[in-house]
Amino acid sequence: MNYKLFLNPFERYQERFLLSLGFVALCVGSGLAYLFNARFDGVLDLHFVAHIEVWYPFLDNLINIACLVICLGALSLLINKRTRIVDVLAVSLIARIPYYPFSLFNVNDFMVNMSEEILKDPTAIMSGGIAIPQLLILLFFSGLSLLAIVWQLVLLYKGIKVASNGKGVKFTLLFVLAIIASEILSKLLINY
Amino acid sequence: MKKLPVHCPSCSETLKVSQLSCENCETLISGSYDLPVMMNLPREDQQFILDFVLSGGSLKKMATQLKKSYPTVRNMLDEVIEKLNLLKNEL
Repeated sequence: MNYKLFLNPFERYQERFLLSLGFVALCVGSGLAYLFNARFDGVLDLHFVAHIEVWYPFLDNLINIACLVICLGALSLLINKRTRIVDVLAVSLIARIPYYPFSLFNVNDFMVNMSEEILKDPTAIMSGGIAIPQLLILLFFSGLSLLAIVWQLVLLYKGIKVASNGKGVKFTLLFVLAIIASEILSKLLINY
Repeated sequence: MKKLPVHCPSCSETLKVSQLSCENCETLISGSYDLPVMMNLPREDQQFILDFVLSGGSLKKMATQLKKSYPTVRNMLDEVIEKLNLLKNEL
C-alpha cells in the first residue's frame, strides 16, 4: 500500500474526486457526530456534549471548512496568484476526514459521562477513583486524537503546498499563521 | 537513444556545438554554435515540454496522461519555466 497517498493524495487525484470524497465524508462525519453527540467547535477541536440538534455538526463542519478556505485561500493567493480556490476547498474537505471517526468514542455517551465524572472530582484520576479500563480508553482516545490533529495538519500543509506551489520558510510561517487565524475565526463564529 | 551531453565532463562548463555533419554526402561544418536553450534542460523536462506541446497545451490532458493532479502538473510547468528563464539569463 502506498502510504504517501494517505499523507498527500493531492499530487495524484483530480479535484473532482477529492471534492466528492470530501463532501461524502462531511455528510457521514456530521451524521455520526449527531448520533453520538459530538461538536466540531473549531478547526482543530472536537468536544462531546449531552444533547445536540441535528444541524449543529453540519453547521460546525461548514464553518470550519469555510474558515480554512478563507485563511488558506488568502495565503495561497498571496504566494501564487494562479492558485485555484477549488483546490483549497478540496484540501480543506479532505483534511477534515481524520476527525470524523472520533464521534464513535461517545457511544452511549461514554465520553460525556467520563468527563462529568472527572470534573466532579479531578483528583479521582490520581487516587484511582476511575476504573483502569476507562482510564486506558481515555488515554487511547487522547493519543489517537493527537495523531488525528497531526494527520490533519500534514494533509493541510502538503495540500496547500501543491495547490499554491509554496516553498521555503516564508510559506511555512504563513501557513502556521493561517491555521491559527482559521482556528480563532472558527471558534468566534461557532460560539457566536 | 543516446543522451546528448550538454556539460563538459571535465570542468562542467556548458558545451558548444563545434561540428555538424551530413550523413548523406558527408559534408562537415565546423564552427562554434550555442546549444538551444531547451537542450540545456534535463531530459525529463525536455520530455515534459514535448508532451505539453503535443497535448495542445492542455494541462488537464497532461494531468490525465501523467496520472497526476492538475495543480501538480501546473507546478511542474512553473518549474520548467523558472529553469528556462534562468538559462535564458545565463546565455
